Amino acid sequence: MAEPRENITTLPVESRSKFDQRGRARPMLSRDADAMYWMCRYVERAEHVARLLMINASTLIDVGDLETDALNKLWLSILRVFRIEHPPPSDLPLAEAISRYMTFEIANPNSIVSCLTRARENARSIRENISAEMWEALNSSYLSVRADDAVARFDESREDFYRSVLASSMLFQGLTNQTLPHTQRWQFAQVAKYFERIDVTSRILDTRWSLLASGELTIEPQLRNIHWMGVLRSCCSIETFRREYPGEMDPLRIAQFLILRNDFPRSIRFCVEQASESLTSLRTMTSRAIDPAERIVGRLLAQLDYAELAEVLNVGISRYLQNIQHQISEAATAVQKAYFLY
Amino acid sequence: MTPVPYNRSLAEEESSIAAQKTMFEAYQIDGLFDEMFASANVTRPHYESAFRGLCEFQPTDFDRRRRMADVAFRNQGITFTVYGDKRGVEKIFPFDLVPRIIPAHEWDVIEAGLSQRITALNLFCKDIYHDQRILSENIIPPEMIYGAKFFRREMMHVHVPRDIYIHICGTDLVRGKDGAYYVLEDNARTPSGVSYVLESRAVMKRVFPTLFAEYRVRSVEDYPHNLLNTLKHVAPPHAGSDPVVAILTPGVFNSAFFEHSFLARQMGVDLVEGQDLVVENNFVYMRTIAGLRRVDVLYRRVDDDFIDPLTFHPESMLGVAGLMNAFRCGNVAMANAVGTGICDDKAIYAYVPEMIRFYLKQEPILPNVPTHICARPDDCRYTLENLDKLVVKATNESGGYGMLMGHQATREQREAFAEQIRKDPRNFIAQPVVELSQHPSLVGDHFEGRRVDLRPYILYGDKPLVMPGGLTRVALTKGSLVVNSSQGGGSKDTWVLEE
Amino acid sequence: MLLQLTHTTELTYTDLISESVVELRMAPRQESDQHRLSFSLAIGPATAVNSYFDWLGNTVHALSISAFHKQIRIVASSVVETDRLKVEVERFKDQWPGNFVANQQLYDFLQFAGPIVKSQALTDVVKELGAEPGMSQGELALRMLHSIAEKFAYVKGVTTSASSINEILRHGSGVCQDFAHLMIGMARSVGIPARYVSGLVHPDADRFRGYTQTHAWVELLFPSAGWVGFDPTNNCIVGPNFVKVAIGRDYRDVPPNKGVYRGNAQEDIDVKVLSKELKQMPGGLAGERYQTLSVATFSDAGGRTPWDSDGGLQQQQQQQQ
Repeated sequence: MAEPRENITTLPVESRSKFDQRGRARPMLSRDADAMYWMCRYVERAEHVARLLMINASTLIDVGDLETDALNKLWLSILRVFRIEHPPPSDLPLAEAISRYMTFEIANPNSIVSCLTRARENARSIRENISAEMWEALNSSYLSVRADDAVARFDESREDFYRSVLASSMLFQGLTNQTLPHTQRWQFAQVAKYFERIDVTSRILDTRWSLLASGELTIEPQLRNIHWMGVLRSCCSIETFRREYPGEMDPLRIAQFLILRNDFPRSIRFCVEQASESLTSLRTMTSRAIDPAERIVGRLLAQLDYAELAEVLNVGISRYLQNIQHQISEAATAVQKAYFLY
Repeated sequence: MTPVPYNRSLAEEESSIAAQKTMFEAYQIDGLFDEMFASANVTRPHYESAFRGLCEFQPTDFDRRRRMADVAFRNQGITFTVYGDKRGVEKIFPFDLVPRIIPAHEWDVIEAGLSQRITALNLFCKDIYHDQRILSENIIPPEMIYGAKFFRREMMHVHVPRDIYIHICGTDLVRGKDGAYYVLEDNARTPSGVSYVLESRAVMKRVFPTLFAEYRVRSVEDYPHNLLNTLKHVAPPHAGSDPVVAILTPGVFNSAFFEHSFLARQMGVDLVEGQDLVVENNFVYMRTIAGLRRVDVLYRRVDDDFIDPLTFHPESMLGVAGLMNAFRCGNVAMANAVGTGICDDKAIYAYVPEMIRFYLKQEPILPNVPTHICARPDDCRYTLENLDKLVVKATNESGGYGMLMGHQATREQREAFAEQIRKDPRNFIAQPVVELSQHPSLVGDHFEGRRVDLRPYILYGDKPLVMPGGLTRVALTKGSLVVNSSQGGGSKDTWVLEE
Repeated sequence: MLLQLTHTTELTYTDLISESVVELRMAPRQESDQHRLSFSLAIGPATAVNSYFDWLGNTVHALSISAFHKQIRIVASSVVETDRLKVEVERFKDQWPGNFVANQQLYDFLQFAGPIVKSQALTDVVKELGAEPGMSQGELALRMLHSIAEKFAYVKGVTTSASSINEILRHGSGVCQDFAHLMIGMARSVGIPARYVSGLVHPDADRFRGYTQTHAWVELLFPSAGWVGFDPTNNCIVGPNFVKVAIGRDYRDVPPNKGVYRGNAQEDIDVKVLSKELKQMPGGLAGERYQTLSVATFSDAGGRTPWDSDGGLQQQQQQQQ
């Protein structure tokens, strides 16, 4: 509350009544937009957590026996994606401890259960404003991970468990697209989804890059491909990549693909473009002057639009990605200030 | 006699007769008024089709339908919150699939009685917050009003739009052994439960389509529409033809949050919390992504005490500071108005028949349950002497709290209550035990009688409008008379029949 | 007595706050023995002010300041003429007990509620008054006044604005608010209706510590004379140098200012009152009376409905009765 507000002037009577005449497009409540935004970010995050855990486990099966140290580094890198510094205290082997911590631990705000709980809490508070289908999808995926038999199902088949989380997130996002009018509300869903995806994708690439390409981890050359395939799988991009670049897994190609493609929904540039469009629509819908979030994201988009891989490498992949994360985090704060917390 | 709805083979016929014996076999009337059966083997005429329909079902059929209903309720998140229960905050409202049926001629009386009652209560509120004729003419002793917990002095001389204080009322009715309907209490603050009525109906249509086909049941679906019109009716003139209506909720942790959200969705209005609102120069605005937007009518589901920290509870985070001033200026309408809690006071309840005579010059159509007001010395003495035969209630509690069922209580409980009554007689009333009517309910794999009450909902806009139906609440434990959801009661769909 | 009063309140906050909503009870009451000739408010930051009568007939000014701010200054100025006579209550013919009926007008002033609580200590203090049936009610009131003056000391900081009379009874000391509450408790104990008064006192050389102050005293009801003011803090009957601002059941009904704001900051309050006795009506009075206060408007369109056209006016007319 310490921030002096800028946008709180009351609209004069005439323009207010004009606004009301727009009928259905009446401006949504700030709290509502806030809840919408976080609901969608958490659903997207739960999906990433599930995919990362699932892919990591299956990649490790493929690469066979690794040294404990290498194994631990790979598992710890999952925590690093979500900015968690230290592994959870536990008597279990690290892999097991991290899997459970990232799946069930309520005290961990980034665990699947926490993400879905928060997503659902937000959904519940705006229950009247989302479609019954969205609510039912989210509610049943929440009930499923919080059910009494959830841990038993998890122990029985991790893959099935994670796949059901992935499927429910996909279902939820599909329903968001198909059952909501594409008005302000939907634009917030878009911004949230893409902000989250940009952040997680860049973190995944960043942490894996430093493990695999910068030699933090020594791995036998024949296993290198499997690891890089794991990165693509974690970003849901393996099939498209393979179709376009058959043959060897070239880290530079992968980086270029995940950062600079503008026609693939998992690549950063695509996500930035979508977020930017949504921010522009929101600004027009609420009749305001250009706002800081739009400016930040627009600038980032221009940068990506005209970037070359060589440039990226000059800066250093890691620094380049961290800059993206920084820009997105600034933009997210700006959205909050402009729309929710004035 | 309605013909049997299905073409069935003889074998099926036999099996259904067997089922009929099974599911109603243990059924006992126990000398109570039974909604379905006039006597052991005689079905009341309006229940005949339903009875035969129900006999069609095998216990497994019925169970499958019960599970369908449960899933429907759970998936939709139709839940309520029980305070003081550590195990998770939300619960599904227990739903009993056997519908309660009310014939048209009975409903006509209820409807007339409830309309009369809400009209009198609104006149009472207007009077008590202005001229107080009912006090100066000695119909109600002044100390009953001034000593009431929910009498709001802040409302004295405040003009409310169209003199309507109670826009939405939920009045609890019970039937005694004689089958007559009695008013048990009025809920003139923020009655809840109407969303369950609408949702139960939707679920029943999915689960029992054939049973529905047998009856012409009056629809309850237009309630949200009527509610919105009722709210718009009191909008301030500056709001023009399309006033901005919003529902004010305490938030997701409130026991009735589902209902607030449900009604907002059904009416297509915003659901706001106190933090969404701001009062500026005596107008109320909500914070939207496009700046502040004026609110003209608030259907508030926040109690008086919490609605404005400036006027009432200073620590409240649920309301908005300055709301009372905006209300006082007529810049925002509130439904229900502040101060209607006076009507929920169980000692004031006892005077409603007098109010009807005083303001309307009519005889009450629906009687009260006879009530002893402990604030009167004679009544108090009688109550203390007959504690084992009476139900004693605290005047300002609801939800089944602060109650003594004298005939079921232990001596210690009775003595503890007697002590409380002596200390603060104004806070108590006593009533004879009403042996509530019973209705068949599904218990395990068969039907048993369970006690029921009925909460119809009344809207007061340009005229009183009684929703045809209401919330029938069921005491799910055998013999229990307590039907409140907070005390483990369930609900059933209520069918009011067309002529 | 013709008095010019200036009541300045400075609210300062340790950090920026927003959405302040404030109610003021600062305008002197209009009574048969007290006439408010002018009243004006100056407030910063700039805001519109609306006024209404509360259920006790006190004038309330309400304002809201939405933008961020760290300070609010309120200056309430008035010119008041009082013609209150010094009464000799012991000469009133009213006998004790007076048999007051707790009807709608008096119920609230006979009840124990809020800070006015029953206790053994209160019963003891009341017993020492030695009330006897048939005695003069005025005499009994004076005994209360003197008994408080004898037994209790004026000490700041012992009690707070939320203290009940148990505090002053326990500590034997308090401020004017506690003295007033205590006398109300004593009066209500013996069945005499009593109410709380907040107001301003112009210094009179003998007694009032030489400076003007916001003050609290009580009024007791006498069947023959109506409400009569007693000042238990100064052990006297209220005279023309007292300016009544608000009445209530107790302090809760009359705070000169109360407010709610958003933000994480502590509030500090500084109050100054200045008063001056005037020899004649100030010349500028007429102009001052035209000070505009923004009032609620009820319709900006032509189409008025029957209830809105007389709404606000009716409200005010009724409350002025």
